[in-house]
This record gives sequence, C-alpha cells and structure tokens, in this order.
Amino acid sequence: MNKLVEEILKFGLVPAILVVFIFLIVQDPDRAEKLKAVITKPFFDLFRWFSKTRISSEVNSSLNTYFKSSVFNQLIHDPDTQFKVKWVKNSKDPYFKENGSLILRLKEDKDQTKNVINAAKIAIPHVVCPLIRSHLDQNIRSAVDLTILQKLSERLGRHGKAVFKRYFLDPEVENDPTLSDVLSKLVELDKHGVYTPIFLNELELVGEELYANSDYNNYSKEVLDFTQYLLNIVKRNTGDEIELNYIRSPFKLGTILLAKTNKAQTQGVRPYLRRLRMKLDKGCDSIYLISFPNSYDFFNKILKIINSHESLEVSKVINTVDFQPSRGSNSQNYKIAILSNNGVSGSYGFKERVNANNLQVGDIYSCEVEDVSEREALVNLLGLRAYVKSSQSSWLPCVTCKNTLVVGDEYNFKILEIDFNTGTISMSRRVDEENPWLTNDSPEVGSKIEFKVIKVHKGNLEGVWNNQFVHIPNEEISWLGYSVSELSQFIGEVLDAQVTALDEAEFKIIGSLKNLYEDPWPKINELFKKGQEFHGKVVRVNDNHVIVEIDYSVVGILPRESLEKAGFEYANFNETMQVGQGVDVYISKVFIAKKKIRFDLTRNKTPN
Amino acid sequence: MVRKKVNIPAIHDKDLQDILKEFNLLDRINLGEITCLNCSKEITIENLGGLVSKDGGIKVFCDDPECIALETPNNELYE
Repeated sequence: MNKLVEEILKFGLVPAILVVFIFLIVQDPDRAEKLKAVITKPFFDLFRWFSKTRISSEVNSSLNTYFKSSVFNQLIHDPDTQFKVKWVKNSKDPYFKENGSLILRLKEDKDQTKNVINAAKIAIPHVVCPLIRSHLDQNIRSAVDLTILQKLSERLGRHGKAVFKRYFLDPEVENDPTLSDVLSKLVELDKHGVYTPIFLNELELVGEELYANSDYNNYSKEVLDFTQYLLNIVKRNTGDEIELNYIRSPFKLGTILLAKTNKAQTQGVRPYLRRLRMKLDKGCDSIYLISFPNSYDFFNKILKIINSHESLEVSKVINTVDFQPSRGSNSQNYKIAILSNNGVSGSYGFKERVNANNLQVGDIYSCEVEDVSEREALVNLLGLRAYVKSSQSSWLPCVTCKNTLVVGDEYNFKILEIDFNTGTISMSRRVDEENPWLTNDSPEVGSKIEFKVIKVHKGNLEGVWNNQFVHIPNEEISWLGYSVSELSQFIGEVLDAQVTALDEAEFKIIGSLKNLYEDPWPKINELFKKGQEFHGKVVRVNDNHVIVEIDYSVVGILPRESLEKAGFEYANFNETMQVGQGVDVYISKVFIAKKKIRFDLTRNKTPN
Repeated sequence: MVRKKVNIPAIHDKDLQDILKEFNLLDRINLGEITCLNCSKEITIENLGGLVSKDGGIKVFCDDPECIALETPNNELYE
C-alpha cells in the first residue's frame, strides 16, 4: 500500500488528489453529485452561475443519500434506485407527449430545501410501496409519504424541519384530522424503529400479492388496523416477551421478540423454531424476529439454523433504532430479521422428506449437532431438524446435553419417535453398540472403585466410573449424614466407593462410601455419655434446630425447644446465631439406631 | 451492477417562461385566466408548481404540496 502511495505521489500532489477523487467517485457515484453541489454552491450563491447544475446536484445528492441510507437499505426488495433531475428545456420534450406526465418546477432559490422535499414527494410513490397505493385512501397515502418526508427533513437540519412543517406538513394536515391521526401513528412507529423495517415492508409484500391476484379492493381500514397492531407491539413494557400473529387479510405476518436470554440458554432454539413452525402453519407469510443486543448471539444462532430450514428463509436483517424506549436510555439499537415462507408447506414437506429418506424408528444415523441447551440438543438429520433430550444425550443419565455434545460435532443417534402431527423427530444417543455397560468391563460387587462425582440428585450422589453410571444412595454416603448443600462440595471430586450391587436393567453401579469406613457409632456411644459437656461450634442454623460440631468432628442437633427454653437471648436464634459461633452444650441423648446425637444448652442443665 | 434510474422531470426558472410561451400559457397566466388543476387557485408565475400533460393538453398546478401529490401517481418516472 505504501509503495502504491509513493508511486502515485511521484506524479505530484495534484494528480494524486485527482486519483483519490476518481477512486471515491467510482466507489460511490453519488459522491460526484455531492462534489458538484459543493463546488457550484459559492458560484451560484454569489453570481447565480451553474444554476441548473447546482439545483440538480443538490436535489440528486440529498435524495440519493437519504433514500439509500434510511429507506432502501431497510426494504426487503431494495429498489437500488438512483434519482436524477431531468431538465425539460422546451415544449418539444417527449415528457409533454406522455399522458399523465408531471413536470415539476424547481425554483432558482438560494435555499434548495423546498426543491429537495418537493422532488422527494414526487419520487416516493414510485419507489416506496408503489403497488399498494391504489388500494389506499388518499389520506393514508399522504401519511405514508409525509412520514418519509419528515425523516428526510430532519436530515436536512433545523431549517429543513421548519420548511417541511410550514410548506408541506401544516397545509396538508390542518384540514384533515384523519390524516393528522394516521400520520401521528406512523411517526410513532418510525420513532420506535419499525416504520420502514416492518410497516413499509409489509405494505410492499401485500401490494405485490394484491397485484398478483388482480385484487382491486380498498384496504385502507385493514392498513389502519395493522398500524394499531404495530403500535401495541412498540408500546409494550420492557422485558415482555411478545408472540403475536396477525392474520387478517390481506396481512399474514407474525412477530417474535427475543428478549429473555436465560430462557434461551436453558431451552435453546427449539421453542422458537416451534413457534416459527406454528406461525407458518397458521398461515404467516412473513415473520419478524426482533432482537435486542443482549440476545444478539442467540439471534444469530437462530438465523444460522433457519438458513437450513426447509420452509423459511431469511429475507433481510435490519439494524434499527428505537428512539423512544419505554424506559432507560434515550435510544436503543436493535435488529429485525424478516423471515419469509419459501412456499414449502411445513407439515407436508416433513412427511414427504421422512418418507423419501425412509426414516424409521430405531434407525441409527450420524447427525451433526446444531444447538445445545441444558434440556436438549438440536441435530441435523438429513436436513431435517431432530431433538435429543438431555436424558437421551448419553448412556449416563447424570449428564446434560451440554456435558456430552459439542455443536458442530457428529455423533450416532437412534430415532426414538417420529411425530407427523407436530413434525418432530426425537432421537437418542443411547445406541446399543456404544453402550459402555456392554462394551466396557463392569466392577465386581464388593470391590473398591474410584469414580468421579457429576451431580447430586435428590440427595444421592451420581457419577461415572469407566464410562458407566455410578449411583450412591443418600444413606450410603456417610455415617454422620450430609445435607444436600454439603454434598454439592463433592461435585467434580474423585471419591472411593465400594460396589454394593450392579443394576443390569438400568445399567448402573450401586455403591457405598460409608462401607469403606468403620461404623463410628458404637464408639461414639462409648465416648460420649449423656450429660457430658462440650464447647461446640455452630455449623448450620435451620428454622427448627442448630447443628453443632463438637470434638472429633462429631455433629449433633440442638433443637429449637432447647434454644427457646434458654430465654430471650436465643429466642430468635435463626436470625441471631451465626455459623462458627461458639456454644456450650451437653449431650441430652445419643440415638444409636438413628445415628444422631441430641444436645441441649449447658445453661438449661438442671443442677444435680 | 447498474442502478435503476428514477428521472424527476423538472423545469428550471430560466426555461419556464419560454415553455409557457410555447404552450400559449404565459399571457393567460399574466391575465389571471389559468387556475390550478386541483384546487382552482389562480396561477401566477410565483405560485406555479409544475405542468402536467393531460388529455392531449398541458395543465398547470399550483405549488401547494397537496396539489402536487394528487398528480404524482399518474407519472412513470423509471428510466
């Protein structure tokens, strides 16, 4: 690059600047008009020279810049149009021979704002929703155009807004309350960032369909109802999840708002894909998927999956701004993806494809994982979506999809169920050939194994040994007993266990931790006599008792009754007592059968 | 890729009087005989918004934006 710059500069600075200009103009031809407008301005302002060039370049560049950046890039079918003022110089011009031809007068004013807005007003009906206009009342057509012109005037600065209001807005709305009302609604849609991305795009799509069906009815009322539907969406409370279908002829659309990231993380894409399918089944031709920045990752993930969807295609992704969010900041960026029905009916296509591929329950296929959540995974079965529940994601019931499946990797899955009503395929990774219970050696009953703890389930420990499931019932974990919260400390640890049984039906190793240790209770009973006093330490405070640890890590229960009996100091013990706090207790009873020690406060002890 | 062009036919002030003269409209405008096609307002050189070819003749409309809007849809601007 540096070499290129050096080579160009060899010819001198002026040619170098010219090369840069040419490069910029070739890259974007609209720049030539902007350049002409800038160069001719001083000559026009001072001497009225280059009048036509000045006016046409100002109008052309203003319209092209505005429509390209604020309107066309948000339309599904970008008209990719360039506006150009064509000067009519005499009465022989062909325009005068065409019936209906309009020739606009562009005044030779110093201020070109009126000319720009006038030219835009003429051009808009030809490039924005041209096919639906004949189905709408004049005041709705005007409201549509004025909303676009208002935004253009804002781009032209404070003066532009004033000119628009005085010469274009006020004269039209002052005697037409209906126009004023519709316009205010459309402007509100625009402030919320949905006017072009949703409203205009829907009018475009509906217009195309009406034209194709040779439908000549007036749909003004339907357009007003649709406007109200969109207003209800944009006026929602922040955080609300909206799922709405709008199937009222001639509109057939659905809206989905991605807002709750936590739901996305736990449930994955399936609920949204299901909703998309339902919307298609209900007759939606287009679906607007709306996402705020905190859901962009999930939004992109859904779009990626939709690209391989059999019935939908992503027509356009639009970046837009809500300038009137219900709370919080002054403006909020967000994205709208426009999804279109590609004409293949969901349920029919599903059945056809299942039959064409001869998919049968029990068949095994290698499938790529497309998405994984805590509860289930989405896999690609010969182009069809199939789901794998967490409990079916491995031979190990203690793991979730997230533990075992990696997005992009391929695994063997067995078809569990094909539901033609819902168009759903359920699959399992529990393929017999990969069952570790059959392929790996099992331990001997009575032997010691080292297993890894994966999770605590209903107070039991669950883990893995040699890819086989290990289950340690709660009563087999310890001689002294643990709470569920205390057990969670073992997750990820490797522990020793004695195999007590092998469950061949459920493919699980049942074990015991405490069997590896001698039962301490006979000794406890011998060591700790009723009435013996200790200075203990609080290890847990519950509503009905306090757990106190004394010597040799032995723990016992100090019941609520004992604490309340001790007076006001312990009356609200569950609020006032802290873990780690010292407490003087004596043994009130040792329950050998229950393997529990009961304490009382020393201060409650009746003197001998 | 070639972009579609939308031509906006326009008359410059410098050519306006000549064109009106060629259509025998200038004198009639100066005499106050011409009214707006849509709102019937008297047309002057100042408030003339544009011309429209209609029913084999040339009609004039004023610079009221509503009058311009009423004529717009009849015109084919794509090149």
